Amino acid sequence: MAGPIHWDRVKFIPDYDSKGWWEATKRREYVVNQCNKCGNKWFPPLPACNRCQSTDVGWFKTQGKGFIYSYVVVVQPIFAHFVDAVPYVVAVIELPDANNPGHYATRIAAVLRDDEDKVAIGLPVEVDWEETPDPEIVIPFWKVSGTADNTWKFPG
Amino acid sequence: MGALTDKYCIVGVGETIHSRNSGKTQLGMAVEAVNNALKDAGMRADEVDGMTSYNVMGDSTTTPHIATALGMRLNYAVDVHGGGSSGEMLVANAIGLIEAGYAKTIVVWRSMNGRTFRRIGGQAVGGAARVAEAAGGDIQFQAQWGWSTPAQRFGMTCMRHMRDYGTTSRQLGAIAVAHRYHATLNPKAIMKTPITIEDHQNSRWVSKPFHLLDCCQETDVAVALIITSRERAYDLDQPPVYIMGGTARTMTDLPAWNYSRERIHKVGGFYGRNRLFGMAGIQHKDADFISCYDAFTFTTMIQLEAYGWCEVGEGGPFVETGRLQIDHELPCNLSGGHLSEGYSHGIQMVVENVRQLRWRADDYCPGAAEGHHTYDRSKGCRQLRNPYVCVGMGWGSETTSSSLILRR
Repeated sequence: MAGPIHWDRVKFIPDYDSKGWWEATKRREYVVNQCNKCGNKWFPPLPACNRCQSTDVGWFKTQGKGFIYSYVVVVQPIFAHFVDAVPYVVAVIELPDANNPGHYATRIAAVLRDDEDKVAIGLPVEVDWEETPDPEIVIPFWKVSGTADNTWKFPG
Repeated sequence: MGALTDKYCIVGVGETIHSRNSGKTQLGMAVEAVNNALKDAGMRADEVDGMTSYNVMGDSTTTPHIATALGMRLNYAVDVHGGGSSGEMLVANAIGLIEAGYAKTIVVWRSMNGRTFRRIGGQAVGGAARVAEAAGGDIQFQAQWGWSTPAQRFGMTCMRHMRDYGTTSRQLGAIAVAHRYHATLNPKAIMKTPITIEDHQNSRWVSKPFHLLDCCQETDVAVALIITSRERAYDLDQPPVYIMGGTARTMTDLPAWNYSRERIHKVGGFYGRNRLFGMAGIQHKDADFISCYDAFTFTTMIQLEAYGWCEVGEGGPFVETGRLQIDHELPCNLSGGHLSEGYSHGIQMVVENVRQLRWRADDYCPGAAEGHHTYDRSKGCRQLRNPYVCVGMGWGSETTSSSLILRR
């Protein structure tokens, strides 16, 4: 990431489905939805279970650890708050402790602290936190946390 | 074959020019496109009694405005939200409505100032980027990650395809080269200069893995189609083009977020292909040419896998031989498509397919309007020799696809 993200140029307004997720970030916890009936987990926050259709939905506290499933490198910025940050890496991250055996994996997306040369599909990552000028809003960043076999890097 | 196969026809097509500065309202452009389609069909405005369109978050005008401007009284008027894959879907809706007796003749239209009003990704005109109020829903997450545009989102799927199957950027470049070549044969195309694979590789990055030449044009344009019954079509000016079959926004599982599905590159067309070919009663080998939504080179490639033109994972080697180029095995997007002609969220591909099937492509041949073609590409002819069947594949996102098989 070449420069800062200007968090003062964006106002985040949680909704009824995401409120618990935003509250958890203030406690530095990365949570995903969990079905209170069958235990199924998912992201992003949605008001029903995609396995049993229950609307009794709660939260599961992950360990904040995962691995990179895919990524892109944003070179041309679109959002005003990211104009000085390019180039930066956005990754889809699989969270093994929130996966649902026999059903869906649980994957999230996030902006990474690491530059492109440090990033590859398959690498382990862990959550990190960034405060914003709004005390109600803490943003989860993720960063590469180790090495792995069989990683894959975009050759350019 | 489907119960309605060949029972309905596209009898008129029309558009404005593709430009980067229309100098018109979306209403002004839509009226022009509808009038051109009526003229093409040989119909009067009062012979149309249904009209329907798609728009992305209000970037267009409305059917009641067009009906007011043109003095039309309608029995059916619906404008839906949606981008790519909507045109083919609205053709399906039109067939169903006419069959059920809700209307007799329906115009499907799209009008957008995609360069001068609202740009892809939501950029305002003249501004570098939007200042977001990330109020709930999807945007509250996308604004955290700086990840919102189609180039950024579809790139995630492309990158995983590259990792899983060894697909390369160079292979994708062959699609850009083929579609650009077709644009050199199209007087209407925005981008008419031929390109090479090296040009593609040397173009700047937009969002890796996509170079600039992997991306479509930002365009101001309006397009209109007219759909009516076969019986009505016989009395009109153009050779009827029959609707054999289609799909209407077929979706994958978890369609709102393309994250957690088993393979994020198993896209919507995979689920629609048996319905499409089953309804039309044809096989792949029966197609004389195809169209395949090219918002990006990758969207064309992945849909060729999804709809079964090649095996899963083999899209890269399949396209890199140049088989999508005119006079090769599987001509695709003969107008130049979104990569080179201009961008209308898919519907202009239907226009080109109709003209090709009439054997009246509007190319550089002096007698094109009367169907006189030289078939000499060096003289600017892009008409195929006597094609009968076209398979068109639309794309809304990884998780959404519509399609349309036409014949003459």
